[in-house]
Amino acid sequence: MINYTVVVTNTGNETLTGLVVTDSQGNILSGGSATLAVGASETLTGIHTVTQAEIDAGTAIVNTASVTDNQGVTGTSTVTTLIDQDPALTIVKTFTTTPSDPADTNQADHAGQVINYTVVVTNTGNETLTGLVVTDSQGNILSGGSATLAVGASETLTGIHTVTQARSTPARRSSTRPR
Amino acid sequence: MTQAEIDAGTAIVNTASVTDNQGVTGTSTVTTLIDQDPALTIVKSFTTTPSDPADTNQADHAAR
Repeated sequence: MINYTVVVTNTGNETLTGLVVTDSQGNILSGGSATLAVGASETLTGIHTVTQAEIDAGTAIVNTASVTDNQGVTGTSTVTTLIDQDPALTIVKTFTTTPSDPADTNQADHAGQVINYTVVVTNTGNETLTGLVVTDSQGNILSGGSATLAVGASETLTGIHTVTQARSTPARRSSTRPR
Repeated sequence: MTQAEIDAGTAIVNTASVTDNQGVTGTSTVTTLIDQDPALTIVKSFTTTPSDPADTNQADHAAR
Protein backbone atom coordinates (compact mmCIF):
# COMPACT_ATOMS: atom_id res chain seq x y z
CA MET A 1 0.00 0.00 0.00
CA ILE A 2 1.26 3.44 -0.92
CA ASN A 3 -0.02 6.40 1.06
CA TYR A 4 -0.04 9.60 -0.94
CA THR A 5 -0.13 13.10 0.47
CA VAL A 6 -0.77 16.16 -1.67
CA VAL A 7 -0.29 19.68 -0.35
CA VAL A 8 -1.69 22.58 -2.39
CA THR A 9 -0.73 26.10 -1.36
CA ASN A 10 -2.11 29.36 -2.65
CA THR A 11 1.01 31.42 -3.24
CA GLY A 12 -0.73 34.15 -5.20
CA ASN A 13 -2.67 37.22 -4.15
CA GLU A 14 -6.07 35.96 -5.16
CA THR A 15 -8.46 33.50 -3.64
CA LEU A 16 -8.45 30.32 -5.68
CA THR A 17 -11.84 28.82 -6.49
CA GLY A 18 -13.05 25.76 -8.31
CA LEU A 19 -9.98 23.90 -7.15
CA VAL A 20 -9.84 20.31 -8.42
CA VAL A 21 -7.00 17.96 -7.55
CA THR A 22 -6.78 14.68 -9.46
CA ASP A 23 -4.60 11.59 -9.32
CA SER A 24 -3.14 10.10 -12.49
CA GLN A 25 -3.94 6.56 -11.39
CA GLY A 26 -7.49 7.36 -10.39
CA ASN A 27 -6.79 7.01 -6.69
CA ILE A 28 -9.32 8.92 -4.62
CA LEU A 29 -7.85 12.01 -2.98
CA SER A 30 -9.83 13.21 -0.02
CA GLY A 31 -9.58 16.22 2.25
CA GLY A 32 -9.52 18.94 -0.36
CA SER A 33 -11.65 22.05 -0.70
CA ALA A 34 -12.82 23.93 -3.78
CA THR A 35 -11.65 27.25 -2.38
CA LEU A 36 -8.25 28.23 -1.09
CA ALA A 37 -7.53 31.55 0.54
CA VAL A 38 -4.36 33.48 -0.12
CA GLY A 39 -1.49 31.96 1.80
CA ALA A 40 -3.51 28.93 2.85
CA SER A 41 -2.73 25.29 2.19
CA GLU A 42 -4.85 22.21 1.95
CA THR A 43 -3.74 18.63 2.34
CA LEU A 44 -5.28 15.74 0.46
CA THR A 45 -4.54 12.09 1.04
CA GLY A 46 -5.02 8.98 -1.05
CA ILE A 47 -4.08 5.34 -1.09
CA HIS A 48 -2.85 3.12 -3.85
CA THR A 49 -2.97 -0.60 -3.25
CA VAL A 50 -0.12 -2.29 -5.06
CA THR A 51 -1.26 -5.14 -7.27
CA GLN A 52 0.56 -8.37 -7.99
CA ALA A 53 0.65 -7.32 -11.63
CA GLU A 54 2.62 -4.22 -10.64
CA ILE A 55 5.05 -6.29 -8.62
CA ASP A 56 5.41 -8.74 -11.50
CA ALA A 57 5.96 -5.97 -14.02
CA GLY A 58 8.68 -4.48 -11.87
CA THR A 59 8.06 -1.07 -13.35
CA ALA A 60 8.25 1.86 -10.98
CA ILE A 61 4.86 3.24 -10.03
CA VAL A 62 4.77 6.81 -11.29
CA ASN A 63 1.96 8.88 -9.84
CA THR A 64 1.10 12.47 -10.61
CA ALA A 65 -1.23 14.83 -8.81
CA SER A 66 -2.68 17.65 -10.89
CA VAL A 67 -4.54 20.74 -9.80
CA THR A 68 -6.74 23.11 -11.76
CA ASP A 69 -8.88 26.05 -10.72
CA ASN A 70 -11.15 28.75 -12.03
CA GLN A 71 -8.27 31.21 -12.11
CA GLY A 72 -6.47 29.22 -14.76
CA VAL A 73 -3.55 28.28 -12.59
CA THR A 74 -2.47 24.69 -12.82
CA GLY A 75 0.21 22.55 -11.28
CA THR A 76 1.46 19.00 -11.13
CA SER A 77 3.63 17.00 -8.80
CA THR A 78 4.94 13.52 -9.46
CA VAL A 79 6.32 10.85 -7.17
CA THR A 80 7.89 7.54 -8.13
CA THR A 81 7.80 4.38 -6.06
CA LEU A 82 10.29 1.72 -7.04
CA ILE A 83 9.33 -1.95 -7.11
CA ASP A 84 11.51 -4.44 -5.29
CA GLN A 85 11.25 -7.85 -6.93
CA ASP A 86 12.42 -10.75 -4.82
CA PRO A 87 11.72 -13.96 -6.73
CA ALA A 88 12.36 -17.08 -4.67
CA LEU A 89 11.24 -20.69 -4.48
CA THR A 90 11.77 -23.90 -2.64
CA ILE A 91 11.72 -27.38 -4.10
CA VAL A 92 11.36 -30.50 -1.97
CA LYS A 93 11.49 -34.01 -3.37
CA THR A 94 10.36 -37.02 -1.43
CA PHE A 95 9.73 -40.62 -2.29
CA THR A 96 7.94 -43.72 -1.15
CA THR A 97 8.58 -47.28 -2.16
CA THR A 98 7.49 -50.74 -1.14
CA PRO A 99 10.38 -53.15 -0.73
CA SER A 100 9.85 -56.88 -0.59
CA ASP A 101 11.53 -57.10 2.76
CA PRO A 102 9.85 -54.90 5.35
CA ALA A 103 13.23 -54.41 6.92
CA ASP A 104 14.34 -52.56 3.82
CA THR A 105 12.25 -49.52 4.54
CA ASN A 106 12.90 -46.72 2.06
CA GLN A 107 15.19 -48.95 0.06
CA ALA A 108 14.91 -50.72 -3.25
CA ASP A 109 15.37 -54.46 -2.90
CA HIS A 110 13.95 -55.95 -6.04
CA ALA A 111 13.76 -55.30 -9.72
CA GLY A 112 10.41 -54.00 -10.85
CA GLN A 113 9.99 -52.15 -7.59
CA VAL A 114 8.35 -48.80 -8.08
CA ILE A 115 9.68 -45.67 -6.47
CA ASN A 116 7.06 -42.96 -6.25
CA TYR A 117 8.51 -39.50 -6.36
CA THR A 118 6.74 -36.37 -5.17
CA VAL A 119 8.09 -32.92 -5.86
CA VAL A 120 6.64 -29.84 -4.19
CA VAL A 121 7.63 -26.47 -5.58
CA THR A 122 6.62 -23.39 -3.57
CA ASN A 123 6.85 -19.77 -4.61
CA THR A 124 8.34 -18.12 -1.54
CA GLY A 125 9.13 -14.81 -3.23
CA ASN A 126 7.01 -11.75 -3.97
CA GLU A 127 6.77 -12.23 -7.71
CA THR A 128 4.72 -14.61 -9.85
CA LEU A 129 7.00 -17.29 -11.25
CA THR A 130 6.59 -18.09 -14.92
CA GLY A 131 8.21 -20.53 -17.32
CA LEU A 132 8.55 -23.02 -14.51
CA VAL A 133 10.19 -26.27 -15.59
CA VAL A 134 10.79 -29.14 -13.19
CA THR A 135 13.01 -31.95 -14.41
CA ASP A 136 14.09 -35.30 -13.10
CA SER A 137 17.74 -36.29 -13.23
CA GLN A 138 16.83 -39.80 -14.41
CA GLY A 139 14.45 -38.65 -17.08
CA ASN A 140 11.41 -39.86 -15.16
CA ILE A 141 8.31 -38.03 -16.24
CA LEU A 142 7.03 -35.62 -13.62
CA SER A 143 3.40 -34.75 -14.09
CA GLY A 144 1.08 -32.29 -12.42
CA GLY A 145 3.15 -29.16 -12.75
CA SER A 146 2.27 -25.80 -14.16
CA ALA A 147 4.41 -23.23 -15.90
CA THR A 148 3.15 -20.46 -13.64
CA LEU A 149 3.17 -20.29 -9.86
CA ALA A 150 1.55 -17.50 -7.90
CA VAL A 151 3.15 -15.93 -4.87
CA GLY A 152 2.76 -18.21 -1.87
CA ALA A 153 1.39 -21.05 -3.95
CA SER A 154 2.72 -24.56 -4.25
CA GLU A 155 2.47 -27.16 -6.94
CA THR A 156 2.97 -30.87 -6.57
CA LEU A 157 4.41 -33.07 -9.28
CA THR A 158 4.63 -36.81 -9.18
CA GLY A 159 6.65 -39.35 -11.02
CA ILE A 160 7.63 -42.98 -10.82
CA HIS A 161 10.79 -44.89 -11.35
CA THR A 162 10.83 -48.63 -11.84
CA VAL A 163 13.91 -50.26 -10.45
CA THR A 164 15.81 -52.35 -12.94
CA GLN A 165 17.76 -55.48 -12.17
CA ALA A 166 21.00 -53.69 -12.93
CA ARG A 167 20.18 -51.08 -10.35
CA SER A 168 18.79 -53.40 -7.67
CA THR A 169 21.66 -55.85 -7.64
CA PRO A 170 24.01 -54.83 -4.89
CA ALA A 171 27.66 -54.55 -5.79
CA ARG A 172 29.55 -57.69 -4.78
CA ARG A 173 33.21 -58.11 -4.29
CA SER A 174 34.75 -60.68 -6.48
CA SER A 175 37.87 -62.65 -5.82
CA THR A 176 38.45 -63.04 -9.50
CA ARG A 177 40.16 -60.41 -11.51
CA PRO A 178 38.14 -58.77 -14.16
CA ARG A 179 38.79 -60.15 -17.61
CA MET B 1 -8.25 47.13 -0.14
CA THR B 2 -10.06 43.93 0.56
CA GLN B 3 -9.37 40.42 -0.60
CA ALA B 4 -12.77 40.52 -2.21
CA GLU B 5 -11.66 43.43 -4.38
CA ILE B 6 -8.55 41.55 -5.41
CA ASP B 7 -10.60 38.46 -6.14
CA ALA B 8 -13.11 40.47 -8.16
CA GLY B 9 -10.33 41.91 -10.23
CA THR B 10 -12.45 44.93 -11.07
CA ALA B 11 -10.66 48.23 -11.13
CA ILE B 12 -11.33 50.37 -8.09
CA VAL B 13 -12.89 53.54 -9.29
CA ASN B 14 -12.81 56.37 -6.81
CA THR B 15 -14.29 59.79 -7.25
CA ALA B 16 -13.81 62.88 -5.15
CA SER B 17 -16.61 65.39 -5.30
CA VAL B 18 -16.77 68.87 -4.05
CA THR B 19 -19.67 71.19 -3.39
CA ASP B 20 -19.89 74.54 -1.76
CA ASN B 21 -22.32 77.22 -0.85
CA GLN B 22 -21.62 78.95 -4.08
CA GLY B 23 -23.00 76.10 -6.10
CA VAL B 24 -19.75 75.17 -7.58
CA THR B 25 -19.12 71.51 -7.79
CA GLY B 26 -16.42 69.39 -9.09
CA THR B 27 -15.39 65.78 -9.30
CA SER B 28 -12.21 63.96 -9.87
CA THR B 29 -11.99 60.28 -10.46
CA VAL B 30 -9.10 57.95 -10.20
CA THR B 31 -9.02 54.36 -11.24
CA THR B 32 -6.81 51.80 -9.65
CA LEU B 33 -6.38 48.67 -11.62
CA ILE B 34 -6.25 45.33 -9.85
CA ASP B 35 -3.32 43.11 -10.56
CA GLN B 36 -4.36 39.54 -10.03
CA ASP B 37 -1.50 37.13 -9.66
CA PRO B 38 -3.00 33.74 -8.93
CA ALA B 39 -0.40 31.12 -8.16
CA LEU B 40 -0.14 27.87 -6.34
CA THR B 41 2.23 25.11 -5.52
CA ILE B 42 1.39 21.44 -5.36
CA VAL B 43 3.65 18.93 -3.67
CA LYS B 44 2.97 15.23 -3.66
CA SER B 45 4.76 12.84 -1.36
CA PHE B 46 4.28 9.24 -0.36
CA THR B 47 4.99 6.71 2.32
CA THR B 48 4.85 2.97 2.10
CA THR B 49 5.41 0.08 4.45
CA PRO B 50 7.41 -2.66 2.75
CA SER B 51 7.62 -6.16 4.16
CA ASP B 52 11.39 -5.97 4.14
CA PRO B 53 12.69 -3.00 6.16
CA ALA B 54 15.57 -2.80 3.69
CA ASP B 55 13.12 -1.82 0.94
CA THR B 56 12.49 1.66 2.28
CA ASN B 57 10.23 3.73 0.02
CA GLN B 58 9.70 0.77 -2.30
CA ALA B 59 6.81 -1.55 -2.95
CA ASP B 60 7.68 -5.17 -2.33
CA HIS B 61 4.37 -6.94 -1.98
CA ALA B 62 0.91 -6.94 -3.45
CA ALA B 63 -2.26 -6.55 -1.47
CA ARG B 64 -2.90 -9.43 0.88
